[in-house]
Amino acid sequence: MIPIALYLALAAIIFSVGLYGLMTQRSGIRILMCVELMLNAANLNLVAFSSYHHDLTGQVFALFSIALAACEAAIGFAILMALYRMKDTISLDHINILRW
Amino acid sequence: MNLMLVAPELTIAVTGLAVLLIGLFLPTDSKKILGYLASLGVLIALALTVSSLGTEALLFYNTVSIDALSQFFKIVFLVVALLFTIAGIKYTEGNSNTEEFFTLGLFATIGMMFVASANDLMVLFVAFELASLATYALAGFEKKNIKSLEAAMKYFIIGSLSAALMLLGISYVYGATGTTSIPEIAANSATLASSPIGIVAVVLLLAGFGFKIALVPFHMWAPDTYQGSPSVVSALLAAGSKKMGIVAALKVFVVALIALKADWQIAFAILAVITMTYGNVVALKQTSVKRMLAYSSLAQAGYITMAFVVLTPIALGGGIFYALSHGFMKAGAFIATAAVTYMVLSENKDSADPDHIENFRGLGKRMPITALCMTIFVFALAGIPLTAGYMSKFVLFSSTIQSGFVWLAVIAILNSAISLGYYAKIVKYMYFLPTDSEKVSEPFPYTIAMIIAAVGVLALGFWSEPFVHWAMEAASVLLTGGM
Amino acid sequence: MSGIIDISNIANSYIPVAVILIVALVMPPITMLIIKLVSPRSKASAKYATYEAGSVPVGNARIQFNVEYYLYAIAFVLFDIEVLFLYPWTTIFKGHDITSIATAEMLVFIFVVLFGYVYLIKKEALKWMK
Repeated sequence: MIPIALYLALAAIIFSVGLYGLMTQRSGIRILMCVELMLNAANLNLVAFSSYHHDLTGQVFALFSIALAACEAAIGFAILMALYRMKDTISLDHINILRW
Repeated sequence: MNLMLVAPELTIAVTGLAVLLIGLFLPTDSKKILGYLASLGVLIALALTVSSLGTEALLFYNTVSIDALSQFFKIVFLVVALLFTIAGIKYTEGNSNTEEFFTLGLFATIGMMFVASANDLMVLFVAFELASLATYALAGFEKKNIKSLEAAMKYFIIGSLSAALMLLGISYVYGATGTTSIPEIAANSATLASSPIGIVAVVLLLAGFGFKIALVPFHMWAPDTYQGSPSVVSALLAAGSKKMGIVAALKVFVVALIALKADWQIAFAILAVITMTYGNVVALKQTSVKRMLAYSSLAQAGYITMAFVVLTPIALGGGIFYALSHGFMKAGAFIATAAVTYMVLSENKDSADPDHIENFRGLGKRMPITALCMTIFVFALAGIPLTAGYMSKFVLFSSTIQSGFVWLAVIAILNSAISLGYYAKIVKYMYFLPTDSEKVSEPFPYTIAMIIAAVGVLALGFWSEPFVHWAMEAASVLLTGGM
Repeated sequence: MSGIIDISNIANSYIPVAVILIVALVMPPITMLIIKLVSPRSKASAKYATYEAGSVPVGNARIQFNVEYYLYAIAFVLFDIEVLFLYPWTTIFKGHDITSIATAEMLVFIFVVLFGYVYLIKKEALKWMK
């Protein structure tokens, strides 16, 4: 059996990759991908802990969060599409009307 | 299992689906009926919740709990939803997407209600996401308005970041305790407190909820989103969605992670001080009323966060009572802005800044009821006596002093003084600056919604004792560690 | 449980992976070598045209899809994911004495999903060109 620490480390690395991407990328699609990475890192954690505790709750939680991640992606794409129709770009550098 | 106990949620769900289905088969000009239908559904749900006050039960294999806390917050959310649907009748007039507007609003309300009654982190997370997803779409409801889309985009990015942080934090809590049930986590949290994973989980959850409640430094989305979204939606976001973050944080920190109190209490103290100071100072120089209200709602969130620092039953009760009165005040203020926006846009279709404070000039003559209600709301937000805002500030601040956090109370009181500056500015524009525009007729649904909110604000101020008592009861649920 | 790392066990379970990895690394060079040795070569100019058969290429290779395409993709992703909830349902359906309530709950769920389908059809989201 692979020790749980490895799974946790992998999840932490994936989460960090996603977080780094979210903060540095400027394209809307890439940001969506980074959010998915972060959510999936958390899912990996849940499943790893689930098998560690011999308790199914974590796996069910992961199923729910996969479905929620899909819904989130759908809404994100819908907003991006509406933006693209208005401005012909999805680069977030050009979305800057609202500021103080 | 008694389904009557979730009857309010079921009513809202059925109403939401019915509105969606009926709206599909109606021509655009008769879609007005959907708003009345949605308001009726919310009213029935509100009546059902009020009639079931005082019941306590655990449902769905102990994942949902009905208790004083959940009932209190359900009523907060339903009241906000009622104001939202009534104001929405006017806002969606002639819009072909009316059914989506009300359905999304009702679904967001179900999410908030289930967050309030969640007894399990899984239910809490799913309900939290339901409310968030519906509000992302609502923020971008004006598909042809670039400001609304920008608001939705920013809200979406930060919201999904906060969901990811929250989920990772929950996964660590689950890993350390082996359960997602909130009372069981509280019982097993000794393992969490002794391992470094506990600190990581607290930091992640704090950031996740901090984004939702818009605590500085997690606030950057809030002013943009509240300004860019349609005003009626901003009312739902500021008055509903933010309270949802607060009740979720209450459940997760005060009930489940109470063993790690030492770690998060100081963090909340720092966040509360920064948030209220930043919100009030930045609000002073805003020229957009919606943005000003957004910063003021940051400041109010800062006051409510003080309850997490003091943690006595009275302070928590004060915080919870503050959440109720803030729901009335802020929703009302945003709806008043919606009425002004409507007036400006009906005079000049291409007005770039319908929420600019110049548009409030002479409002006391042009729209007397709106101006009067707005005055009540801003006075309540500032904490003038005889309003809900005064009573909630009084309970919260005095309990803070009683528990020895004098410095915190002093900062909060100074902040309230600063906040008078910008609230008075709105009143000055409405009543003391001359205008040459004439009186306009006030849109009826907005007026009704504002009057309900204003009556609520005054009632909570004059006759606050039962409500404060009830909030204390809700707070005692938190401190006895759930059920 | 963690802490006890049984190295030999981990190593053993990865032997098939290692075999496949080696095969995967060795196969492509060998096939390419065989092709190089046995296949005939031609150096005519038609060899370097886009279509060796002689058709003239039309337009640009990078075309934009109609944006409506994404609507299908989104709808597909959502309905695809909803099936996920059927999976845990099937595993507990039998043997827990909840057959009737489980059936009712799944019917409610499918009804709500169906609702979304009706919504999509009525909003003409499934028509390619409006």
